Amino acid sequence: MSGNQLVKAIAAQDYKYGFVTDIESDTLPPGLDEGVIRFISAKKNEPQWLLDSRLKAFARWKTMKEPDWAYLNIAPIDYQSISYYSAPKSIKKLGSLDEVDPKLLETYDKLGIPLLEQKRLANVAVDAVFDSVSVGTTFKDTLAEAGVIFCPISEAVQSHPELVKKYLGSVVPAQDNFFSALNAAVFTDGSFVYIPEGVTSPMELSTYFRINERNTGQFERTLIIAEAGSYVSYLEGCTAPERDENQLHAAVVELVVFDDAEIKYSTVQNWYPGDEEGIGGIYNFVTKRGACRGARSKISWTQVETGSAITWKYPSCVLIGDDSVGEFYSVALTNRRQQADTGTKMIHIGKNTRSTIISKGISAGRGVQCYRGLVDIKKSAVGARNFSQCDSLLIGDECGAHTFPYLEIKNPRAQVEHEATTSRISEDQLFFCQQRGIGVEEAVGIIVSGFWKDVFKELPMEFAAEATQLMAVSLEGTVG
Amino acid sequence: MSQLASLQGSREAAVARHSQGAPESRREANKYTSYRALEGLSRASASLICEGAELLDLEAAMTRDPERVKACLGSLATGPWADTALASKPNLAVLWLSPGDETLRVSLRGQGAGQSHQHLLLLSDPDCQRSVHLELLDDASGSHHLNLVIEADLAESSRLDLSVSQAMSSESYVTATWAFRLAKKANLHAVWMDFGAALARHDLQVDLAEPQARAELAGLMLPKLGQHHDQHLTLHHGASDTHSQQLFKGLVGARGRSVFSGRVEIKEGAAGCSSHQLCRGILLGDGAEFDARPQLLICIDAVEASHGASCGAMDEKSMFFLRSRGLDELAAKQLLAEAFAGEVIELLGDPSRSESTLQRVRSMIQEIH
Amino acid sequence: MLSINNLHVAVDDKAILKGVDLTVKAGEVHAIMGPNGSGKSTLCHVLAGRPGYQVTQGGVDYQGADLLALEPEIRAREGLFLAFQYPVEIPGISNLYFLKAAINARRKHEGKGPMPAVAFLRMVREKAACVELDEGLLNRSLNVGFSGGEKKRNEIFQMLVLEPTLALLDETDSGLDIDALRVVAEGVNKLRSEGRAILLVTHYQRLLDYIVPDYVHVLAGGRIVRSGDKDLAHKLEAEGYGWIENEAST
Repeated sequence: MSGNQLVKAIAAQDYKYGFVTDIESDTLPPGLDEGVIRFISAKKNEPQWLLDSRLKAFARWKTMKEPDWAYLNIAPIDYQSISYYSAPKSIKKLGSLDEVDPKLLETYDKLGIPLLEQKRLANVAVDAVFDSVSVGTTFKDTLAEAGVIFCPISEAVQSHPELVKKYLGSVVPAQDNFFSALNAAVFTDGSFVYIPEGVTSPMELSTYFRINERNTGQFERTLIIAEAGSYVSYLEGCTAPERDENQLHAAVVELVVFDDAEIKYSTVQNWYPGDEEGIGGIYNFVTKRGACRGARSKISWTQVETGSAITWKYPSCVLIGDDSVGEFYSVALTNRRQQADTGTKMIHIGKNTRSTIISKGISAGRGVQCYRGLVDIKKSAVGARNFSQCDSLLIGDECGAHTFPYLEIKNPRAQVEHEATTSRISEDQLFFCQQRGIGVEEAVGIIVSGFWKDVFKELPMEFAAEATQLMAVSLEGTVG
Repeated sequence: MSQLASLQGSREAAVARHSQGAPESRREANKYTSYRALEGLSRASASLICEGAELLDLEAAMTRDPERVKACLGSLATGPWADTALASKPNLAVLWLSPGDETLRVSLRGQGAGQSHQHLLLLSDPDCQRSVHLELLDDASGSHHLNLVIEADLAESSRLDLSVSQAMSSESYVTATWAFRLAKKANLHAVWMDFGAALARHDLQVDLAEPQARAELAGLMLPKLGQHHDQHLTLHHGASDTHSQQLFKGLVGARGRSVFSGRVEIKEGAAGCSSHQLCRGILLGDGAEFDARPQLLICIDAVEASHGASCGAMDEKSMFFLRSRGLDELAAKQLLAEAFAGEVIELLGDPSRSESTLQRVRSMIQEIH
Repeated sequence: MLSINNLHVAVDDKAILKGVDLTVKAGEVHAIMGPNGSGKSTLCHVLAGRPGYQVTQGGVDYQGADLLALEPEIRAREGLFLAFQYPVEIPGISNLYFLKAAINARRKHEGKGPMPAVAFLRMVREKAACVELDEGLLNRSLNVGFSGGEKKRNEIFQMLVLEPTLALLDETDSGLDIDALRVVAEGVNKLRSEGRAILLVTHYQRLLDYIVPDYVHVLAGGRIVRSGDKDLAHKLEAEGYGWIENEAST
């Protein structure tokens, strides 16, 4: 029986976050040159070293080519047609919630991220980034009491320049790749987190990224440092309005973890995916990497990727410290004409380093998805272990699911295991559910949730429910 | 010369590709392989002998079925080494497979130092079942680079059982491109075993082009002390109800390197296919390296596909178990190595060759020990 | 309750059922027997609404409604239950979770709210005990890694939980040992009541030693060629299907 009997063409689904906030913005005209970089740097009142490093990155970027090895079909991007800075006019003092424009507060309310004290999510501190600037950060004081620094990175440049200078670019150097170089040249805002030695962050930290302005790119930069014996759980969320043109989001995230410390980094990515015909949607080209520099340090990446027209990201761990641990848990869903090329790199350098990769890809409609992962066991990584599991679920005969793992083992006392499977929602399963009274849409939801639950249990409690709902919405219309 | 003229087109295309050098995609295919040692070798020759059947020259083959020869020759195999061979006016022989119980024994032996190019065309008649054993050797009188292109066209409902053993001397190199096209209900059962050579690179290109074709493929690599064994598979499920199984293993001694890349593509419309792949490596000493790239490209939901890859040292629990039953360390290692290699070796279906292969595994363990 | 009238069904243009007539009243147990390939499973599947079958003639009335016009899940919510010959597996979804979804879908259809968790658990435990289903299986993924017997038992367990008005059992006895057969039969007998009807499809008579039917029908060549009481089943057991096929063809 053909998949067409089971799966009809993708019906219009609701993208709940597609609204536009009508707010006056200071937006740079499209184009990228040294002047733009100097403008951004001046706007943020940056020290000379940071401007120099931006200009150096820009010079480097101009010599680089877009990567073409991913399994992606990308329309040419005109980097001169993008505006590299846009901020609501009403934001006067960066990072302060006291004088925030009600329109912005309303925007975040609608997104389910209330910022005002009385409505805030309990036990989650939020940094809200709107286009190129941070609107404000909640619970700053509570966090400060514990010694935790959580603020926009533009503010950290002013308040903790020594930390920023020491760690920025230390995990993802500007020249790492085309998009990291671009980001290093033009990044505007993002979050900075510093957890001092021995401190467990008293609450979850979360950054919410919102692209609003037309024709702008968002280039955020996140830097998290966990000193020895500390712990933090951090979550980012992202949405954007529905627009007919593609918008570029090229972020860089760097994590640094010392002895016995742990960072748990979760992402719920729901950028606008484009319409059924593939018009519009965000290009999500992100470089995320963490360095486990200390012994027994740990980084755990969890991602739920349902949005974006194109996703290109490989959250990675460099396991330097002995006995350090890297984890990658991913659920990605591509529907409509979405494309995703995602996975991870686990670089084992220290002794007895361990990594786990669990990747669950769901392809529906004409979505194409690719897992790309590297497990690199260096000569020095005695006793290193890796386990990878990459499963794909295909819904329909027009989608694609590809798996490209690279396993490179140079230590004879390491142990590496990789498994990959593909499966589909069979008509037998659907009919069985129907026969027990469960409708087709719900049956698909049930089967899919069985498929991804290994990853969902890794999400912080506060967000698991939201993510489940998000997946349900993204799956709407996958079956007729 | 008129027959040769018909090949002119494919050769010219190969020359053109050959002269372009290494394009981007080739870099990815050769991520783990360096051919630097092969540069600057002069032309040498190789001898090709077949026991059990007559090798045809091109003229004789063209007399038999010109259309089929034209359709296959130079057009099934792709890749830089195939292009190099086709562009270098290789020795050309055609092996026409007809039904028979006796295994055909083909031996290709490089002679002296230098580079030789061989092109072998295998054509099977419909419903024909045949076993072929192919040996790659050299006369150990200097570094010989054997560059081999095999193009095999398996007709409807035919079956080919192929076993390949590469036992070249440790100064020599082999680059071999194996291209198979399977017609409806055709069956390919093939095992590649690498024992020798400084560098052995196999590009295995299998096209399950018509419905109900099946392929069962296996490989065993035993590199040590600077040897590099590389088995590179591309498998297309181009039609519905095609099935494949792949089992590739590397038993890697100190300073040896084993590479497996297995790319399985299931096209749109190829419903009801299944493909299962397993690749395993055991590293036996310092400087041993295993690189695995299992890849799946799936473009339709109505299929069943999986792959698994693993790499590690000899299983400590099993070692302990065997030693607790009284085996010394060497014997325990040999037994585990035999068990590991045995899964591939038993696919040979030939007791005498299985035993000699197991003997190679045992002596490899002994040498390392 | 159920009235099948001159039902013709084809699969890929090949006629399987060629005019089946059958009336089942509330409180009755009917057994449908027949040789392999006679169309028994097709009949079950068509009644439950499995895709891939073309009804070329005739119709089915279920409690006054045109059964064939309803979606499969609506049929289920209206009380029709099919115990599958080959129950499917759904990895990652526990038996309990699945049943809860099924029960609540039906309750919603009846205008009721979801069943309270405590009541649900109590009911499920009770019914699991009825079919001697290991409670450990309740939290395992639906049918994944279950033995053949466990899957069949799980089907009967789900039937008891969902309390159907009309139960169709498609070769539920096949592949069961004698103990499992007894348990399955007890489960079915528990369901027997004034308001319910049961349609047993089987190849062998042995299930009917445990579940005594009111009527026995023989399906051969896509038609019901003979109807009778339980003695007919014994005659079939003793003499095979050959005589019926001969009679039918003359």
